[in-house]
Amino acid sequence: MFARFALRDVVFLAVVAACLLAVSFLVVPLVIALPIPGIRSLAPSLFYGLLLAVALLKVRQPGTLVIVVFFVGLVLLMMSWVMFATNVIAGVLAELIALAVFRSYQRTNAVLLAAGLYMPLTALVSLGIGTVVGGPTIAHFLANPWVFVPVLGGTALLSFTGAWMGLRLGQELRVAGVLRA
Amino acid sequence: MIQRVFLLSVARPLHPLLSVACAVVALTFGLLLRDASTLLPFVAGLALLFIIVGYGALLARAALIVVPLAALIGALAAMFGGGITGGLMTFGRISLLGLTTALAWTIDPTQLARVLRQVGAPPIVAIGLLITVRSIPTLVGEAMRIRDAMQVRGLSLQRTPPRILYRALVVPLLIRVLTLAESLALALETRAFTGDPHATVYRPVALQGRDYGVAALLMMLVIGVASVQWLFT
Repeated sequence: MFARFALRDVVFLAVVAACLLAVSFLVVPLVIALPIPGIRSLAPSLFYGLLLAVALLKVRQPGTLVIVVFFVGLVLLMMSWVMFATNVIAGVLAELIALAVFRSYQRTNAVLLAAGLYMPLTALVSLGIGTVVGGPTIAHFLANPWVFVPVLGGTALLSFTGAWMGLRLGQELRVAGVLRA
Repeated sequence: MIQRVFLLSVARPLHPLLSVACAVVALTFGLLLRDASTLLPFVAGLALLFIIVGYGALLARAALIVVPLAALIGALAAMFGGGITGGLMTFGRISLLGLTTALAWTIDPTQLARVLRQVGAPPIVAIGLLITVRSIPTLVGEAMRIRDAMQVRGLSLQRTPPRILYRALVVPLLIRVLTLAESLALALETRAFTGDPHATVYRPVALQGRDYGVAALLMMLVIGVASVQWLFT
C-alpha cells in the first residue's frame, strides 16, 4: 500500500500522526480518570477531525487515513495492543465507509466524512473491545447505555466540527500556497 | 522530554522488539485475568521483574505517576457501580498499563527502526515510525514557542476567544507541521533515501543473553499466575 505514495506524502502523514499523538498526550490525561466509556475519544476529537481533514486534503489518495492511524497505532502498540487495534480498526472502517460512499477523496464531502467518522468509530470499537476484555466497570456501563450515547453524540459532533474547520483551514492554506496536493 | 527522562533512567535497555513483545504479552495476559487476586500479584511480579533486570529507577519514576492515578481511577470505578472488586481490577489494569507504557518509553526509536528493518519491515514503515516518534517533542516544542509568542503579544490560552486562538495558535502550528514535513522529506531525498527494501542496516541490533533471561522470567511469571488461577478456580 505504501508503494503508491510518494516519500514526501508518507513523511507528511507521519508528521500528522505525531501531531495527533501530541494532542492525545496533552488532552487525554485530563479525562483519563473519568470511568466513562468513550470519554477518551471525546476529548481530542475536535483536533483529530481538524488534522485528519488537513491530511486528507493534502494527500487525496485511498489509504491516506489508514496510513496516518497505522503510524499512530504503531506508537501506541508499544504501550498497548488494545489501543493499536482500536485505532487501526476504526481507521479502516472510516476509510471503507467514505470510499464506499464517494469512491475517492476528490470531493470535499468525502474528506469531511472520513475525518469526521474516525473518532466516533474509535469510541464504538473501543467499547466493542471492552466488552470482550473489559472488567465489571464496562459491564456496568453496558447495562446503562444512556451513559454512552451522549458521549458518542458529543464525539461525533466535535469530530465533524473539527473536520469542517480543517476543510476551511485547508482552503485558506491552499489559497496562501502553503498546502499543495 | 518524558521519554528522555525514562530512557535515561535505564542504563541498559532491552532489545526493542523484546520490550514491545513483553508489553504485549503482559497486557494481554493481564486483560485475560478476571480476578483481582491473580491480577494484583501478576502486576507485583512484573514490578519485581523490572527490578531484577535493572529497571528499578524506571519503576520508581513510573510508580510516582501510575499508583496515584490508578488509585483514583480505581476509586471512581468502585463508586460508579463496579464495587470493590471492580475498583481493584481497574487499579490493577491501570497499573499494568502504566508498567507497559513505562517499558515502551525505554525503547530507543532509532534502535527500533533498525530492528524493524532487520526483521523485514518496509523501510518506509520504519522511517515513518521513526519520524512519528521523533516529531512529537519537536511539535510540542513548537506549540510552546507559539504560546510564548502569543503571551508576548498579550494573549493567554485561557482568556483568548476561540476565533482568535484559531488564528494565533492553530494556523501557525499547522504551517509549521507542513514546513517540517517538507524539510524532512527534502532531507531524506538529498540523502538518497528511496525506500529500497534491499538497503543494508547500519549497526544491526542483536538479542543478548540478558534479553533471553527476561523473556524466560516473564514466561515463568505468566505460567505461574495462570497455574495458580487454574488451581483455585
